[in-house]
Amino acid sequence: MLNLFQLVLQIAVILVAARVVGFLFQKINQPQVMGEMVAGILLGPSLLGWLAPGVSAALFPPASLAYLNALSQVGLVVFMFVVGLALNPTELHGYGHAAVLTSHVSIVAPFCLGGLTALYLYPRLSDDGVTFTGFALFMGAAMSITAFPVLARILTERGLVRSRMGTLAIACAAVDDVTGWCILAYIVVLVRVSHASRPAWVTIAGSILYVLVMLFVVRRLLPAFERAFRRRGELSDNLVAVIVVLVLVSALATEWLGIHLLFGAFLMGAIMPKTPDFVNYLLHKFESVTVVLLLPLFFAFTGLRTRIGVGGGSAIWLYSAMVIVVAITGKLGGSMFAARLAGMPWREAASLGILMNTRGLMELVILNIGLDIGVISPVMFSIMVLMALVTTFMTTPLLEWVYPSRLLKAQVVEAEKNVA
Amino acid sequence: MGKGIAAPLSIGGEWTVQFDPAANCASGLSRLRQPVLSISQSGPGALITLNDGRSTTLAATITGATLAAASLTATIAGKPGEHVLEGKFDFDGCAPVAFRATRQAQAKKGGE
Repeated sequence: MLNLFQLVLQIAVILVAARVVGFLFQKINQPQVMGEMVAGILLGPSLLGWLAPGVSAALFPPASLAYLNALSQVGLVVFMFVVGLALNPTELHGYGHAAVLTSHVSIVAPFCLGGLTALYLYPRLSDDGVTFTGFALFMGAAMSITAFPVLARILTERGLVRSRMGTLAIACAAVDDVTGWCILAYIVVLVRVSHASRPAWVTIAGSILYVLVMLFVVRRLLPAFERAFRRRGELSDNLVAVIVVLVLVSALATEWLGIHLLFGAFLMGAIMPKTPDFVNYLLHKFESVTVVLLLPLFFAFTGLRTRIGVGGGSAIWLYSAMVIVVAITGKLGGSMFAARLAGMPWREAASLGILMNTRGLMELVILNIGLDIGVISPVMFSIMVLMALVTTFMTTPLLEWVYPSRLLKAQVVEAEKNVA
Repeated sequence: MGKGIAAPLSIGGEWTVQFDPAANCASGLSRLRQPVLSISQSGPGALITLNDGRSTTLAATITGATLAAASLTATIAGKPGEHVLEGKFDFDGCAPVAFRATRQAQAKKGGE
């Protein structure tokens, strides 16, 4: 039964922890979201449950977590809409050979390395309830992801959004995200179809029909929102509510089809009109509650499922090191060499690789889906969460080391001069 | 690719346990509630949590079709997805108690 006092207490504790740790991380030049992710881990068995098991059990009893999960899932649905909304596929246009090559290699290289790593990890961290194909595909997809929102925030905080490298990184990350989510949708269908009561063809045909309806029917109706926005300079509460309902209906459609709630929310955001002031208006409307209130709940729920250093023995640290090295080699190395092959100077190519290696909370979203559908084990989940934290944490200091701010800012000034 | 690679038998999930009705171990059995076992598995390692009111946790290993923990040994039998556990529990002050465990309906698993 719902214990409202406990739920409100949990939310309060999570928000305080997220803000405090986020603030401390900002002090060491990390994005706020990195601190919020770490706060979630600290509230779980990896720290609070280890240092004060009594407090942890009283504050987060297992029976209460279903409510926290439900709230965090609602937050993720809105957040994925926001991620889709911020994506602009046309951004890739105009960056030519470098963007196309880098974005493709930055998916293929980590995907292949992730699949190869699965050969070693499958017998050690999985079980015969999961096929090797499902496990390997998931590992590939999880290694390939770039955290588009975190990347955008890092670039904004460093004033690099308008630099050549910044715009290229955003464009490549957008392509990576769309591709990564398509791969993940395929894996979820592959995994769920074997258990679903409805035949596979219903899921596949239904998914194709859903995408076609979204692209060729719903998308053509959405500019009406933009026109209403132009007329009044804002949207009425009723129109905002209609957008929310459309997001929820799209999410429910993909969940019913057996893909996942989040895909529907993401696609709804992706097909919204992309006029900058309209997008900014909607981002402002949706982002604050999601980012301040609901995302920290998701980080905490993720942290409560993560057991870094708890159980599994010393081999777990070896597997963790291996996953981190493979993830960095595939994503950072792959992107860097592709950018270099496309003619970028080494320093810029390396910086682009570092930026593309940021996995952030998109990785956590994917990992939670993987754990929910049972394609990865709890220990594999913890290892991958650690990898997500390490690759996100290393971005800012490594970028500063390879390409100091003063040089990057000079590039921005030069780019602005050229535009003028 | 990966056709020759075998992973350990799957035992993760919640298990309902039937003990030998002839067992004489009231002190050990009276504390347990169904589902008695909750198993979190990662490869050949597993954490078994007993539903005994204290959430006693046992580290276990799976070798072939054998599950072994400090106070429990069992054989994993049956087809994939329909595994059962058959073995013995060691309760303090009692002779080992035979049991048979069946897994409750699982959450959807990856590509089984």
